[in-house]
Amino acid sequence: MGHNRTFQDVAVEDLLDLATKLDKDGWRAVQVLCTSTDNGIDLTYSFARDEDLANYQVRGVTKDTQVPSLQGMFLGLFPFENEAKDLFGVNITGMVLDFAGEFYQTSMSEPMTILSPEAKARKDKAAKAAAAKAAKESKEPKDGAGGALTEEEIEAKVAGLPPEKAEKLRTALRAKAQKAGKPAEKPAPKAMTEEEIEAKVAGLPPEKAEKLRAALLAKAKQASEEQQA
Amino acid sequence: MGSFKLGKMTLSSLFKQPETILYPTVAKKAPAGLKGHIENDIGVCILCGICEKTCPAGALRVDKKENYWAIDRFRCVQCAACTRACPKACLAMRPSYMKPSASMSEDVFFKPAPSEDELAAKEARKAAKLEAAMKAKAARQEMQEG
Amino acid sequence: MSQHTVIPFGPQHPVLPEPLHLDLVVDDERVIEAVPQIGFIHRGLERMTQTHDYNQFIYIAERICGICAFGHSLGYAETIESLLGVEIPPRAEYLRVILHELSRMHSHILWLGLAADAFGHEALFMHCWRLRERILDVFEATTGGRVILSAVIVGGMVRDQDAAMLQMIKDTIVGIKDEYGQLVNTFVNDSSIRSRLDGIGYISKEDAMRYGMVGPFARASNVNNDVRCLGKGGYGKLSTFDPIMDTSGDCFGRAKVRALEVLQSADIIEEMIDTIPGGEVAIPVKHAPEPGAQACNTLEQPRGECYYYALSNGTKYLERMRMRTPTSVNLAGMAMALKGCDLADVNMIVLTIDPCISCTER
Repeated sequence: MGHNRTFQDVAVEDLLDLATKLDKDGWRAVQVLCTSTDNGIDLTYSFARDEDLANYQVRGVTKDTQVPSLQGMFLGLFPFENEAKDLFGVNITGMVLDFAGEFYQTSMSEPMTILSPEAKARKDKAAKAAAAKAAKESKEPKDGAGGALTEEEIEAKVAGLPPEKAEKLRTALRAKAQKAGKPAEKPAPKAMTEEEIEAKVAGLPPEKAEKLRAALLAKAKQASEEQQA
Repeated sequence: MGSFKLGKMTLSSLFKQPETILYPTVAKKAPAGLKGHIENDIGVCILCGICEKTCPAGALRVDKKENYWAIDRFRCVQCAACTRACPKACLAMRPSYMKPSASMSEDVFFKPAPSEDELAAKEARKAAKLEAAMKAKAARQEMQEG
Repeated sequence: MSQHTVIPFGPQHPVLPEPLHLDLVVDDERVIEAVPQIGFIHRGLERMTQTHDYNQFIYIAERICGICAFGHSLGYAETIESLLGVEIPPRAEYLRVILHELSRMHSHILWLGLAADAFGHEALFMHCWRLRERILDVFEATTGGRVILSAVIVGGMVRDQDAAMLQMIKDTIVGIKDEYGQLVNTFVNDSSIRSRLDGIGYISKEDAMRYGMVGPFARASNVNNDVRCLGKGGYGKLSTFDPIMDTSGDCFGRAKVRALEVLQSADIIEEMIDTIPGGEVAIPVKHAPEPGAQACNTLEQPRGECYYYALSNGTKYLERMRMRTPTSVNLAGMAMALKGCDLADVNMIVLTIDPCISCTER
């Protein structure tokens, strides 16, 4: 259904031989595309014959790599090779129709290699998250061997944070301590006094304050009943 | 010389109705599914902002704190992606084009304050939910102790 | 003693349909060589994958070109579906083929009108575009837009068409067949039109294969690159499909191929409407693709074979999206066909590749 599509890697040095062989075997050149990556530019050459569509990918082409032009055998590729030169800065040599960088007259050179601010922000965030995850995973065995965090350690961790975040982190750490095997040192929930409850709901909008107040009152009641029991 | 190949078509055009209509005296009847402009039923809208994130042209602006939903008609491309993404189904595509205007502007719709009945109904729903939650908690505790 | 003059042709020229620049090296009235240049309508649309996620990008893909608008949204949606590994319902496949073939009909009738205008027959141009209006009315009634349809989303179609609407499509097509037949008869049999088209811009079969030409441009030189033969999507459900070929290889052959393809598309649409299955027309698609996954896809647009490539980086924003249009590869063939023709035939040859430079440059 549709073409039979394949993706293969090929080295820059073998490109010309590969193209000569494909030309002899009757393949048709479809296109050349470039992808901008952190290790340079990846080129993808596509060829088609009858029901097959073969994509050959050259990885990590930098400014000083000389890529041979295939226009001698496949003249139809001239717009793509000139585009690669103009928008991505790929050094293609030996072109039949060479526009010398003037094919697309853009105001900045190699615009496709420049990341937009949103994309850059997303990429940095993803990199930070991945680094944090890796760091955490390398730290995990240390924590597990030492045992779960005690209540004082938990309190120390949540010391400087705003109330909602503190609650969240506290519950999460308690759950983790429980999972780590040691019986959770869940302290008897202190019955919260009225002033403490009011302090907690101080900064919130009215509906949320109501909800939180009701929930905390219920919890306080339950805690005092448990303490009495 | 050859024959006049388009003769039949030309002759019949003399006697048929013209293909064009006398706009603006006669306006074309818009088909029912035409993508004309977006309308928002602001009473139902909860100002969640999902439509703002879905819009590919950046034409919508939703501010929950200031209580309004705004659309820049010039940026809208009438793709109707917002109508499909809206969780409350308050956005709809109406089949009439907006008239040309002399200046660029944004259409801002403020959400009206809820009426007395609506407020009371909301309070009643909240109280009912809280009571149900407390009852469920009590039931769970009894099962644990028992 | 003949001298070579260089005449710049385009991008603003009354007879050129698209902004293309040609430097014609002319010897008296004969063109020795032609060097094409594009780049006047480059909008950098492929870079917008960085600011729009894959569901929003389909509306950008549509607006690459006004004539092949539906084709681009269809090819993009198929590529993303292949990247995500989702299967769309069969009714959506049939609806997509119906709208795509309608798009092909309107594009070819538009081209016939432009060709008529290029050799000066304005009445024929007006009649062709008058018939095209009927198809645009069909688009408006079924999808809500005349040129930019916004009818395809990743996962299927936006709207279902009920039986009454499908019958209306069929009636419209049957209704234009008679008048369309008269127009094709004019193209094929009128002697003044034939004298402008016969023998102009000849490309042999070997040259067509060497330059990698696609679409009706190549089929007129007896080279078949039609992707519809491979039976992807709804095209696999057709009872027969034979691409229309011609062996003359000149402007007349290309005009004839396109004129007959309109009638073939009308037959395809009728067959699809008769056999369309029931069911839903879309499935919800919300998840992000795998990081590092890549997919490519081909589609037979009115102008030829179009290639799409998508690479993902694990988020909803694609890393790279590529749309390669048929005119890009046909440019080389056009430059070669212009060698040795008269200056007055340049615009005719440029027009017979059905240039869509806004697609080429994105």
